[in-house]
Amino acid sequence: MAGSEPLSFGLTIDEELCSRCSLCVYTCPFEALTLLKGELPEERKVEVDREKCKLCGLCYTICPLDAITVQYYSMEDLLEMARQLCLKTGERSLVVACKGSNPTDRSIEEKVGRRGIPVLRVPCAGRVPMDFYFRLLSEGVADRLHVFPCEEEFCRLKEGGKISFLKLDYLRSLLAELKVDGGIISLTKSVNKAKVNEAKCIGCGNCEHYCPYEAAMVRSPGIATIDEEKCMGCGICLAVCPNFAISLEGYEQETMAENLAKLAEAAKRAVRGGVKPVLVFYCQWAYTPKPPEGDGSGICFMELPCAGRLDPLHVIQALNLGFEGVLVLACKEDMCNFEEAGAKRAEINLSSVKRALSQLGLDGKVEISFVHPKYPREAEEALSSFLNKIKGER
Amino acid sequence: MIVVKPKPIDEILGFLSKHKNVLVVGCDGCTTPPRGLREAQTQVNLLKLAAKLKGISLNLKASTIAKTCDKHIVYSTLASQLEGIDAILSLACGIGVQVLNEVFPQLPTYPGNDTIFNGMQEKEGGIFEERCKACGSCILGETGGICPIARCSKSLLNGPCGGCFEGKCEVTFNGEKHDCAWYLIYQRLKELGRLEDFKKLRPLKDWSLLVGPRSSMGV
Repeated sequence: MAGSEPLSFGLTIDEELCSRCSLCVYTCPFEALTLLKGELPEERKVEVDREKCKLCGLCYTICPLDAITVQYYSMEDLLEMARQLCLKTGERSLVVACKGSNPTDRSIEEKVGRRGIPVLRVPCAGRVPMDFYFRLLSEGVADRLHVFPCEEEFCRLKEGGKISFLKLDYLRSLLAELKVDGGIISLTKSVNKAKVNEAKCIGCGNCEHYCPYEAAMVRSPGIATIDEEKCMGCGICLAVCPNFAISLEGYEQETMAENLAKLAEAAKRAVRGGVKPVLVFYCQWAYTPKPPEGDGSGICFMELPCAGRLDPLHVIQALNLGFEGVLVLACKEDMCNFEEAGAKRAEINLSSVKRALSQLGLDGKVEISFVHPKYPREAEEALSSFLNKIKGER
Repeated sequence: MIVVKPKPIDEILGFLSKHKNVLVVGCDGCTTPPRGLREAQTQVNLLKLAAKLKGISLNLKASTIAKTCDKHIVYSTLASQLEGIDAILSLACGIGVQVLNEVFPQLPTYPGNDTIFNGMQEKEGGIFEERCKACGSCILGETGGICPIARCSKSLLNGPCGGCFEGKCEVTFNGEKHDCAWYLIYQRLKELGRLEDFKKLRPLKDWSLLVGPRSSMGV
């Protein structure tokens, strides 16, 4: 792969289909679309500002001519995941949830009040294409949908919460016009914020030092508190706490340790099968592995609420557990949903791990790649080039 | 805070290779960056990797103490954790390593860090900087809160010298430029409206206060 071909942007406008009605231009909450004027017909077209565009998909929803395609997620992959989930559980109801505020199936089961309901966790429920919800219902994948977006204030993608509410309102009104019971889609807003276990806090102040939102504070006699209003759930404080005193549901030290132990089994199986196992830590927005649990090719995945939550301890543990390589997929700084702090923190943590490992000549086994979710192939390319590097070693 | 730097792995393995069962003990006290339980576990994992690569057999466990500079706390925390242990690797500062050797003389305690200075961490750069030399005769009240003993390359009491260019000292450490302390003192005293303090001539410093081993009756 020479890399000279530009990676495709996640939004494309079909100039043949586009009627230049400009509905998308007015709908875009980020003012990323403009209608270029000109004398000649060829000069009049809708153009997208790639910096401003957040791939929220509202334009796609509003376009009367289906001229816009938005690929934050691959529709077919999402549908396939949903189908598999419903088949596996034999359920007719499906939960579509924002990963960030619904880190575990258990937290959703508690909210829905039922166990065993299939859950499709996506980086942003607001960016799921509208068609996806339609097709879930029309293709008989599910009869009821529970959507769990983040609360408006908690949405880290800015506007993501609002967009999901807008889309779902639109969907409900459409269903009403079609005389379908609007109750088949329900909406529950959620958050996931960090909490301090005061019994374990040693008052070192690291959480306050590194928190990008000034939510964590250490006060005499040396106990940290986290302001629930300000916390945005990035998890950076977890990675810098020397005594594991902070928890963030789904990403606590205990959970990560448990998950690592389970993946170690997968690593052993890969080695027995003659494959070099690789562990990929990915920011929930940088990448969506398909299928989520890996495909038996020796690649294992561990989700992070933000690459800034990456703990050097877990990277080194992974190498001890038999992984031949550790790749971290983080968002590019300007795409970081946590005021750029997550990307910066991830870079610093990874450099410090590499420095420590270079003493043993193992720094080549660990790498970080910064990808743009707006260019969906970047993550895939980073993954395949890392795999080739590890396969080619020794 | 007491600022420490991890020792090279080879040096640590050099200490530990004569032993079989090692307890890696962190310290929740004051080191910067913190060297608590998480760092102890990280060190254990790093040493396991290293031992595997070098064909050394080593059993490692991680633990931590609230503060290693207190004999009582050290004893009450660790006494019950030493069954079968033949060496301790401490992630505390040099003080802690010595206390551990005193409290548990039957076991060698090795340092996992080099203790480098008393200082603080900048938020943006993540750089640690020296701030205090524990010289025993603090003049911060006269210099507007900026210490020339710690921050001036020559520890001048009556500065600046002629080597200040654009606010930076002509002496560089590892190619890094640092601020001229006396430039900072001037700016600060000006801000405080106390430039007449800048002109005061400070008499010879009692450097004997820095000669050790020092002791104190406390407050």
